[in-house]
Amino acid sequence: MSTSIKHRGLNRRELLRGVAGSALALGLTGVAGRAFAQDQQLVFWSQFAGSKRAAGEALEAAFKAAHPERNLVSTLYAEPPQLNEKILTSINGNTAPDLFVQHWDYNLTYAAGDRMLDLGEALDVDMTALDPSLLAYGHINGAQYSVPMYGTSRGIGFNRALVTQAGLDPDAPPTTWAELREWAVALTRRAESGLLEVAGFSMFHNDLEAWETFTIFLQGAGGSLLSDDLSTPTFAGPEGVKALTFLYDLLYADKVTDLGFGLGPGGLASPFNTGRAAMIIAGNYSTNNALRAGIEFDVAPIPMEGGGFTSIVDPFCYAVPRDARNTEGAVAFIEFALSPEQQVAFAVESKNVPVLKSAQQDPAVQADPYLSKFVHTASFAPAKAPAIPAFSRLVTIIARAVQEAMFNRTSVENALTSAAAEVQTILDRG
Amino acid sequence: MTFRSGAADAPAFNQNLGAYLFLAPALLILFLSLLLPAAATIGMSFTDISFLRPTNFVGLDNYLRLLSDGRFQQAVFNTSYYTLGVTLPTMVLGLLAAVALNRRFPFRVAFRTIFYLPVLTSLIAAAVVWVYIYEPYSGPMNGLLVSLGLPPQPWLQSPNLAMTALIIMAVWRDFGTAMIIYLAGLQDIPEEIYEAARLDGAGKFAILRRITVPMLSSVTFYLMIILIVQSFQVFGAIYVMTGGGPLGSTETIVFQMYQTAFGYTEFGYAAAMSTVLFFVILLFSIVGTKIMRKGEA
Amino acid sequence: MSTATSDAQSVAPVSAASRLAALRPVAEAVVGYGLLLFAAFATMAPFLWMVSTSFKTDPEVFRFPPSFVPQGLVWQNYLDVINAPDTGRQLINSLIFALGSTASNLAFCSLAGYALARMQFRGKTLVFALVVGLLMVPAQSQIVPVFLIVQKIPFAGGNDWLGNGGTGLLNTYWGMILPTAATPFGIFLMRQFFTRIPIEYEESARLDGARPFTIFWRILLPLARPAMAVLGVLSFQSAWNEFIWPLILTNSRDMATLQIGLQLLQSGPDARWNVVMAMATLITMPIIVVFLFAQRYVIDGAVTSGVKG
Repeated sequence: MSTSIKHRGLNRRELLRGVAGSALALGLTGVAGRAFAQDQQLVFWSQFAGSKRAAGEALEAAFKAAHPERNLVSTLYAEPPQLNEKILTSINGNTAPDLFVQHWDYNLTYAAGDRMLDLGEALDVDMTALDPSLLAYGHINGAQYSVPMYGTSRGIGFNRALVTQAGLDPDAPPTTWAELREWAVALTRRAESGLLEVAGFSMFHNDLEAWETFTIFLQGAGGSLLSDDLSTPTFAGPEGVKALTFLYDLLYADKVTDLGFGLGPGGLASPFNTGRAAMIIAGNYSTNNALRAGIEFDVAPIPMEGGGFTSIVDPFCYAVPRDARNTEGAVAFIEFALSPEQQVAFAVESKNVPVLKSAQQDPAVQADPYLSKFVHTASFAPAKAPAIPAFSRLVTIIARAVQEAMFNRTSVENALTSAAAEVQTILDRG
Repeated sequence: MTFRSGAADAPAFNQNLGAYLFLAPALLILFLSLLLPAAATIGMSFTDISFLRPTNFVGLDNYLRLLSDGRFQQAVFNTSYYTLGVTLPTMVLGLLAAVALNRRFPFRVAFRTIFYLPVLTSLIAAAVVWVYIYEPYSGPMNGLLVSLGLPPQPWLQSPNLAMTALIIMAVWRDFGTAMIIYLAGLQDIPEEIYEAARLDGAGKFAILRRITVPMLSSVTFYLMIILIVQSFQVFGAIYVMTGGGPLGSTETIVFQMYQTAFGYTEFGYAAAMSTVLFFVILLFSIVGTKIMRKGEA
Repeated sequence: MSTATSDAQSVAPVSAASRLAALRPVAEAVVGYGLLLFAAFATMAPFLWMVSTSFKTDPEVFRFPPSFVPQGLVWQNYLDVINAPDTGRQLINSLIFALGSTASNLAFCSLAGYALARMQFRGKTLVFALVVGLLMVPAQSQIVPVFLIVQKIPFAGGNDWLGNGGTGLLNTYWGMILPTAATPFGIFLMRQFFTRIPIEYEESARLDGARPFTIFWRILLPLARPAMAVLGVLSFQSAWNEFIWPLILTNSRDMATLQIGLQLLQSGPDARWNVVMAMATLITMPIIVVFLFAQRYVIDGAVTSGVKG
């Protein structure tokens, strides 16, 4: 008991602190509160984090220097889902920002709820100067509710060292599916026991990548996810079957990879970066870590079945809430960010594809060996986008169908047909 | 007499008042942070609220939809399996670690700290190492299987095994918490009881089974409920490892709830999932308690 | 595993006579330590990898199989974290949030736990059932309601008495702490431990006419020190690692915590993982300190103050 008395002071102190704290919390809350947004502020919620952080900070600093009267106040959020939580809560609490930049599919959801300003009307920007395939992702219900800042684009990423070792010419990458298949087979290395050492073509490690890989080959076969008016799924047609069958054969007939090979968090186990995969579907975001890992990284456009190329672009877009306090400031910021100087500066610093067409061809952008290649692959992206508010559901459904076929749970045809039926229900529901 | 009975009632009233005063601050906070939101969630589950579009009352539609939602049922199954797999081993390992480290021997603080480290390790770091442990080709887990003469397994890549692999990782992560809670519990067991048992010639296992375990039953009850609750609400640890795959075999209720609410802005439907999850947890807790009581009797 | 326990238990003073009996505990000790060491390594490996990666160069991060000993010590990763402009502010915010949450949990959960364990009052069963029931409420579905409640606290942040007009407790430490200020976990834990303390301790005090708070404060609380230490560690740790409430309930960079900083660092598919691991390692340190501090009280503050083992 004597020891307990000796130490009693500790508990008491902590207890007192807690009680005092709670009394303050319950009693003096009025003093603790702080006014949220002053009239003259321009509140911007940014998603320029990670490798985009320096570029985003430079953009904001330039805007502040050019428009000190706008009183820009920005907050940074790490991932689109986190910013989404913020926006959904703040829209309800009337504490929404004047401007935010977000992954395009979330913006369509907000726009479908009629919460966003039509930027096509509000902005004094020549929309024809912007890349149409990126712009398409912000277009819904006949209005331009969100406007891209930049996009990512996809190409075939390959490891030049492994390609050379396999006796292939890294300067003559595949231009048809047949050549892609030859490369994948030649690049695959297995031990005598059959254990995979190097995957010739590593297909996907998660739902998003499963959707993406399928969509790229669907386009490669001449198909598309949705009809032109976005009202019907078209991915289960002959092109879709051809695409998924091609992937299925790569896996089972050619054994160029194993399902789930290189699974792991944050790309840390990525077989490409550890030199255990020779080809992947790469984005411009793949560049940094591939180079850090010491991979002889190179990029080629993704071939279509019988020649020609295809790609996917994935934009991050500005949007302004309909009842924002400072729409004028928000519009001024977007216009500033779409200016040629800022577009080039942001693209070069963050290694992303700028939305402004003239910036894509700017010497500074073209001087970057990797960025220039991804700008090139972006040019193969279709001008139509699956710009529907239910996009994230579409991804989940298709990814599941792709994996069901790949895991031999059902046939390619059945997997796609039942997925299309599910997507149709969702599209009909609106 | 009337005066006396009044006086006898007074302490009862005082006792009531005193207890309410002790409880008031905590209950006020629980009211604001849990009870009110939970009530709101139940209310939301009868609507199609999206927080973006106008809200309509839809009656039991959301619950009826759940009945035919195969993905949700798979998630309920996955999460139940995970909970069953995690709860008991975590408690057993935690108890054994606590008993082993509740004695004076060199470096015991170091061991205690080390066993607690998994909870503190960054989830991503833990995932990287565990993904490597389960690596089908060169990972230590298959190395162990092969050295025992068993065939190697595609742990995380197999829809049949992935959840089991995650259960093992979860036990690794949680048993340290169980250990310190049991350590605290062990302090309340008087040393004399052990002495008496030893004088009676009881073996170590007999002491563990007949004295330690029964004396810790209130702590075990706490741990069991906590582990059931936490396992049912698991989310982050699984998504870092498998992203819910392969083929949805590690998808959990809370992930679907989150995706439905914030991804699809179907907050009403997500609220219905949340309500169902609450009752599933309640059911498991009640059954767990019954089993525990039976084990004690 | 039961052998591990019995072996470890045998690490005790020897008082045997025969040589055989004298040797057996030594052998058991060796096996016991061996098993403990094995378990310790298995337990520690991911932590070691985290620390080791924080010292790695860029190419080494992507080595396969993962290496547990870095080739060199790259302190630059740590400097990158420490020199980031927001880190200081985030550290202060994290400390205020975690210590505030811990203190209020220690105070309110012990009070409530004591009442539920030891006091007689009307509605006791109901309150206890409510606490355990609230334990089972999934946190993820509470995000929007809690946000709206925190925003609508009356008289706070420019709100009127109905909670309208202002921002309530958003963007304040109070708002951030509120959802974690008392948890069903904590109340339940304290209640379970208070019920274990022999009733005689407080009965004598009650006969002496001590008031309930005096009994709680002077007698029960010191006896419950192991449980308080556990509650302290768990509360600190969960608040320190908490991410969702600081994210949802604040809007400004000035209120960001270290966990938000970590998220910003690991954002996107091309994060610099060695720097991320450096920050993750640094973030872990305060919890280890709290754990080392508290584990003494877990062990050395017992009802039976006698020597253990």
